[in-house]
Amino acid sequence: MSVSHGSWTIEREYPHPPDQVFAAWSDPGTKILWFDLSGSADSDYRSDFRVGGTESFHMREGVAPRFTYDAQYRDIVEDERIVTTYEMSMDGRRISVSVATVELSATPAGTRLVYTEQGAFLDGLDDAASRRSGTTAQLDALATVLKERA
Amino acid sequence: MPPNVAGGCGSVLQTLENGQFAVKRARNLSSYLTIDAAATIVVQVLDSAATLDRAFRALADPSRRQIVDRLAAGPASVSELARPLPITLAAVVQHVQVLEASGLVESRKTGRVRTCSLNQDALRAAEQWLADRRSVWERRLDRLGAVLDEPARETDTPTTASRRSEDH
Repeated sequence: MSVSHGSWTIEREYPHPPDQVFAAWSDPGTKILWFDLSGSADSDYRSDFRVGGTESFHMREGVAPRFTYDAQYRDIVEDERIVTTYEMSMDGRRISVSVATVELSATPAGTRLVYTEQGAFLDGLDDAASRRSGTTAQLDALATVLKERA
Repeated sequence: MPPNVAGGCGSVLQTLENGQFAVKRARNLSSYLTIDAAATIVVQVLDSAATLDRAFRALADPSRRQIVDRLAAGPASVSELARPLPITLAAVVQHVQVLEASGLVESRKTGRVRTCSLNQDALRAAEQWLADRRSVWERRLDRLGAVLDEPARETDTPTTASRRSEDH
């Protein structure tokens, strides 16, 4: 059993006004378009965008490893701020619990977005925080081995 | 950033932990591959963990980061590296040795001059490690930009959403 803590910030500038950027987070149909990186999202993606409302994203049954994401909206300031807490699990095992803060501010060019995540990564950071990258490294190693054997 | 990056006992433990995960991964893989191939993967994962330990330990010093900074502009001799640093030449030589042991820097001796250069592959491995920790949200926010750029997005129905998500 182990816990590792991490915090990071990502900044982006978008050439669109804050209300449009905000809508891409608040509207479930738009959010799933960019949020799902797996290409194997379960069709049951749900987002109840209000303080206290929940959001859940699961990969389809049978996909391995199967990641699930369950969040709750904790604070919403229209066009300015969204704070959520979320947990991730992999094949039924909880791998992280995080606080995610999205801050939007208007710039002459559009919107500056600052995403900050503070997380507790449970029982093995390498398999938890890296999430997909661990799999990538594994598949790279597998590719190398298969190439050597060919 | 996890505390083990700075090195010391933590990084050794982390390496062992990585090893255990490597074994677990390899065991899962071994149902598809031969045990031999799975063992190769364990060695590769352990190797890369040890490489990262050395790289981050080497970078945990301001003088060594300044040396890396200078070498990013191109190869340089040890005395050239020493010039802007407020430390003795002997100390610079030691720092270069640590950087060489980490794999981040390579050096070649021509006559009496030792020329140092960056090993881009080793640097990339360290960079990749950091990038991987951010990649999920980096990629999401890139895609958010792409979604926002679509000029006239049709009304989003769940069908549209799942169809599009499968395109990627």
